[in-house]
Amino acid sequence: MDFILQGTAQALELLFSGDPETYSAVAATLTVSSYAMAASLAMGIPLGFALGHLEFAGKRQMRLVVDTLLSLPTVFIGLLVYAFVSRQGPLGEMGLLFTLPGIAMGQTILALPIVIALSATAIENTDAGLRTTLLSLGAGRRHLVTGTLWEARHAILAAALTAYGRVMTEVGISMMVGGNIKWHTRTITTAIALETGKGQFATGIALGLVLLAIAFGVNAGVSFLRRK
Amino acid sequence: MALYELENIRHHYNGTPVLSIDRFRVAENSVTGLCGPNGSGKTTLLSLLGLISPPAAGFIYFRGHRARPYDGQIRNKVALLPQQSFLLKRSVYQNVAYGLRIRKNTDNESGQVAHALSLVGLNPEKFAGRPWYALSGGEARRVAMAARLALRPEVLLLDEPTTSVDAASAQLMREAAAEAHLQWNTSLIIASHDMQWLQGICHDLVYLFSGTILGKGKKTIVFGPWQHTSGGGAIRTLADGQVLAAENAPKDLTGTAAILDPDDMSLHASPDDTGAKKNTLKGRIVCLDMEQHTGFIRVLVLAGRSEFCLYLDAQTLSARNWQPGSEVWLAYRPDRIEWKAPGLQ
Amino acid sequence: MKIQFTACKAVFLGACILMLMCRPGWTANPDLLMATTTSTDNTGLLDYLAPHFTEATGIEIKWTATGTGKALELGKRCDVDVLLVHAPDAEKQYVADGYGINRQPIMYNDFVVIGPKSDPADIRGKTTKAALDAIQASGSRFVSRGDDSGTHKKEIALWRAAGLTRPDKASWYIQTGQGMLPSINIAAEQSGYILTDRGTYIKYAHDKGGSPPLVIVVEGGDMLRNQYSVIQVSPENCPDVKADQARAFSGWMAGKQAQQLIDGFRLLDKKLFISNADQ
Repeated sequence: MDFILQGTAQALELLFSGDPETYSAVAATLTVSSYAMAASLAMGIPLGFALGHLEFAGKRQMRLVVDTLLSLPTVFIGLLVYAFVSRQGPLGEMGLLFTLPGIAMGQTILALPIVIALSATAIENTDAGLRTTLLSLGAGRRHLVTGTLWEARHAILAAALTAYGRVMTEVGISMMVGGNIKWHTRTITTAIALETGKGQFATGIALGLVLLAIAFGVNAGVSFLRRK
Repeated sequence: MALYELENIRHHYNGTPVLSIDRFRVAENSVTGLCGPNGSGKTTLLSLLGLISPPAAGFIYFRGHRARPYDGQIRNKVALLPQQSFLLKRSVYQNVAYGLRIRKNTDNESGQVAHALSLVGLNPEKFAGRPWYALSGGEARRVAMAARLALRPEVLLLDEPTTSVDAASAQLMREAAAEAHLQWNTSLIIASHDMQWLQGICHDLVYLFSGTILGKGKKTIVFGPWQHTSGGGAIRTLADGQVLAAENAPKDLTGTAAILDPDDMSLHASPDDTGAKKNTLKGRIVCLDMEQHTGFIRVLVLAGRSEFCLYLDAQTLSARNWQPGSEVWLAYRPDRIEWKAPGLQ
Repeated sequence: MKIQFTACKAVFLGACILMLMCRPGWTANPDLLMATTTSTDNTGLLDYLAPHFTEATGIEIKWTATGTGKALELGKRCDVDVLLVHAPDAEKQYVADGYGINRQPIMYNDFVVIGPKSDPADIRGKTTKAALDAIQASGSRFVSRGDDSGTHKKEIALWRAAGLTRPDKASWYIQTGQGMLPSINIAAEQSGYILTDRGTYIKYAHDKGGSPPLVIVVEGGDMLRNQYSVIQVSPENCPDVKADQARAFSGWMAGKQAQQLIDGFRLLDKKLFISNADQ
């Protein structure tokens, strides 16, 4: 129990003393999660829109596949990505193993089903009258898409935040693909795993609190935007 | 050139036929009313006219051009106000401005929005900033109307604009529609149960029943249960025990409705001077309205809790001194009764 | 339909973002990449040596710390350039199989058996063979790494050397599948014995404020020696390996400067490694 209190004190110390290892891990975490979110939102929202809005043969099966992929374990994804980016894999030449972009790739795979599934649900839950209303005001096909997306914006934002939470806190991919190399691919989560593995529980707690602080900051920013 | 021409329209939802119209014409700069019971196809027809969905079969012509959904030329000229006033998740101002913005018609946008809001009796200063969820039902309906009026459409399609709103809002909706027609020569096609209003402003009244157009003049529809009699006829016992008799009934009477044409009915002061070949029902006049475009008075007679509709001229009415509440005898032709099977073939 | 086309465009855009990140220029790795074990990394020796190496050779070195099994696998798959591990039998086989070249012994420390102060199996001061016999006979709890690491391989070798079958399914034999420190913590919770490298034990004891629940009960002897070696990943097996830098690292580690640094390294004021590159 005492390490929780110790850890809290240590968290403040790490943050305010500008501890370089901590800040390096923070920068790594923010870098990979931002790239992963950008890519997964750019791909996932349109795919989610298509899945929610269009009718096509095999739609239910597709939805089933996407929902199942929500349960991909991170270590499993890490292994899969490793298989591809290791020297012997098809993408070996790109030198992605043990790099931040490699982790981002894996995290995109993690986030994509979340964004797609929740966006599709968001679109499906838009009122049936929305299409008629948009068309009756003279909307063309493009406005139908943008109008529907804007109407569903709260639910889509929730999807993005859910995916972000999952991505920021995962360890399996970062460890497997990143290798937890100090100063280079050590993220907060892999640092927590390392410190806990070394028995430094207080430091583990401290880093966990740092991660929470970042998550809080991001959500506060989003909340501010929503108010506007 | 007609504003709209519909040819051989057949439409269905999920396999159930809902509309079957061989020919339908709407004139330029006109006000047309669509009446009929719920489920008669009014909303579907408006939805087709508004190019929301394409008909399953048949053709729609707008000013001579073949009209399809997403048609860039037409969709900027036609605005539909659906029955459920659905607002976008934005402020009132943005809801009204939406149509203007997608047409890139943003000169003096706030002025246009303010004008549209004032047409429906909403004070722009008070309402422009309100979010979509902070409005009463009537206010929401009026905002939706304002959003269509802001576009100055050439055709305004209104689906039950005064149903389920408070009286003040209903009044404002009616006035706004009339303004649109008078100021901008907007053609109106209005589906409503408010017969008095429709009688007052419409050039043409179209009666829909079970997805088909019944024809000119409001027909009286008497629903079942009808029972067969010997001789191929059928009878319907009304609430007060009186019997409505028809000849030449169809074999299957389940769900069938009988249709009486006002031309085949007449009103009398006593049962004796009705003449041969006619049956009579005793009833009471409950309503008199004027059909503005013909000058005739529509008379509603209540017999055994069923309403019968016929037309008389003003002189006849004043000569007989018939008023709402007067007891009358309704004479009808049992051989001229038509039948309508449930649904569409 | 137009919507499908837009969806395709967006997927393409997202893929482009990913591609931008992965531009070879940005991710090209000029540094020497090493795979080593968690226990080695945890001692802090590498953090201590790396700057000296870079100063002497101008080569930047990065390392990832995993279990021995995985480190060897990474070398086999050409994902790293050089290995620093401590599993001599596996290493010799590795070189024989052609995955590594030039196995260079660098230093050693030793393993110790630690257990509860109460010593339920009464093995204090015994030889490893006698100790394992006693543990099995008394059914005292024994915790194993169970993860193919160097420590785990050493443990297996000890059971074999004692002439005992490894008690895989015995209820008192606990296989954690985890790193050294977590396994020690489990042993402490369970009041059991565990084989550990001295370095990890020193840190553990220090963290417990000098009076840890588990103490050294068996130590010393050849069997418990823990030999560390550098192995270069075979350029024949891995044409893209940074063979020159790997050779430089191996040479430097075996050279006078590194060997002296290793002997001078103190973990919490205790000497941990003994250099033996010349043996």
